[in-house]
Amino acid sequence: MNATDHFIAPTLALHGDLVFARVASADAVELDYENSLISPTCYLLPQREAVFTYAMADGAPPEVRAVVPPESDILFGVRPCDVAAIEYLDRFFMGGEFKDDVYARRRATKTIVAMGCTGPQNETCWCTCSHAGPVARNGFDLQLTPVGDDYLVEVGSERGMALVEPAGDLLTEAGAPELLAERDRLVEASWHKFGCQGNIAQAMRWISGDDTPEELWQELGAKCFGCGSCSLVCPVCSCFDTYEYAEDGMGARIRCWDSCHFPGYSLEASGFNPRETASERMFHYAHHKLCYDTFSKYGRPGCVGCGRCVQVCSAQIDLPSIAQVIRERGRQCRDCTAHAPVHEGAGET
Amino acid sequence: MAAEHEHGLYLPRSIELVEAIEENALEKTFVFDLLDGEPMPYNAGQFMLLTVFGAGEAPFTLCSMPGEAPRVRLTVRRYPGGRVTEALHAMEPGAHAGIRGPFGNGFPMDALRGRDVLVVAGGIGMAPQRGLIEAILNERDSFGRLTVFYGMANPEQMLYKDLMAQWQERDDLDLRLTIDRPHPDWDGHVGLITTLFQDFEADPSRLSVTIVGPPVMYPFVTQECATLGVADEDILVSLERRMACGVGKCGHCAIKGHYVCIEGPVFTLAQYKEFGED
Repeated sequence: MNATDHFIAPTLALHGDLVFARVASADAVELDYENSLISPTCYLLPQREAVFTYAMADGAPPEVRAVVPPESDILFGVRPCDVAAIEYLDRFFMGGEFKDDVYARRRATKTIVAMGCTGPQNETCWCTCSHAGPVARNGFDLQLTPVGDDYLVEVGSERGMALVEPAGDLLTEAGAPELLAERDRLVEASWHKFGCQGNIAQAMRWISGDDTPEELWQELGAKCFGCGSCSLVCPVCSCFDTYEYAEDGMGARIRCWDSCHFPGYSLEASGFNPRETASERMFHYAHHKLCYDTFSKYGRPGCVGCGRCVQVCSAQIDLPSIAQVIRERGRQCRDCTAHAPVHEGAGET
Repeated sequence: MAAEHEHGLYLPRSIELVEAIEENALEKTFVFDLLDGEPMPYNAGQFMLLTVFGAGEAPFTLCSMPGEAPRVRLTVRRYPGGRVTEALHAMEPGAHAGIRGPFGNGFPMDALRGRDVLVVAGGIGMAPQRGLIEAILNERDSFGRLTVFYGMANPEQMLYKDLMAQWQERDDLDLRLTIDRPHPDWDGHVGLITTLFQDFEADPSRLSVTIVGPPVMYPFVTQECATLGVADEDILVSLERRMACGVGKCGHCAIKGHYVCIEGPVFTLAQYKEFGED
């Protein structure tokens, strides 16, 4: 390990909550842990971060400075669902026409050490339905998976190789094929323990084809408190807002997490809000998570099955529940000519 | 475009306020010089993000004639309580601000060349369309008939009064103004902007229509266009959504996977009907 690296690992916070935080010693690292409520992706897209800073000067334009790249970190113990989320975020922020240099600078400093699962870590895990686990196939620099008293160590990159080389004494290649086979056997045997048995592909199909009844969204909207918790704990959700912090001639542009469930998310200065109702916002949220467009652009649905939204949604309209109800009701809609497809026509503004 | 982002996607370029022209009680036109001296090429209908240091950043469509850079011009309505617009309206010439962009697609000038163009502007919707009108006038022979419908609630709200007077003198631009309700200072047409369609004759196969105005205006104006026989592919609307980044990252302007800031803000009505949600 590089001496300047920080080690961010699952550890217990003051009142016993499992969090990903910097640890000073190996003793503080939890090795058998339920996944954290806040994903370690917060080290790539923090809840708040400075995009740039500036110093005001009389009579001269402010001197604008880019943010200094953060120190390098090893993210240790990242669960496969969160590894899949990081792959999604990488494609979202660094692919396409515009590369988000603020994200890219942070990302370049992070080494991902995944901790594969051989069964659900939380009651709410459903990665088997969203194709993100229980073990990661790629997206990690190194992946450890506990198998009995040993760990299966998989190297995913040169950076990962550089991490294991100094630990040569502890590693043996001899038993690896058996460990791998045993790991896969454990994973397969655990499949039925995961909460959701359905696949979200069917829900993706209905929502992509606008084959969902409008009543469905009105019902979900009526239940939604608009608290935004589902998107704030979601490791895939990446919407942000910006605001200015300025004091004594110094200032910063800050970006912070935002949620499409907040009424103010799409509210325009004029007072016009193109998504005025909770049902419209619910449709937007679910559509973005599950539509084919998201899948084709970022290689997976906008859900990694981590189950965090299930833990926080007090209205019990978390993403697995939404997917399930789309599966059930979307089919009805296609078969029922009485229902017009949701949001057909439009045409104004 | 790539050069724009060498120093970072979110870093604004420095600009200096040259002039703030009071258009009416709520709206001013701001003329800024880019201090790095580099031009900022853009298309009519593209937008930029303006930083007022200490207040924040907000998107505005440029209303200058493309090619005028390194000087940019934008008309902004002050919204009471709006951090950026209030701070911007308080700025005096010589003050500094920041700019990022241009972003978005702008009006499809290639598709408009050779065609008759009807510009429908409601209220401050004239601001984003001014650049389009000037771009057409700049190469006037490349376009057919140019008609401009400009509707406002009352005469005080009119933007660019001197320019309107100049346009009314031109015989290669048919400017038709209307106000919503009778007003003592007004002897022109009175009635909602849709009433201007009553005396408008056009060959719909040659006509493209651009529409920018308050949300309430769109369904009625697009209905008039349909009655006239204009195809949805030839009707262009500018969707001005809330945006915090301009580069498809913040999420705010997304509609069913389409990012207004990248794919728009100008869409054909046909495109909008396909993915629209309102």
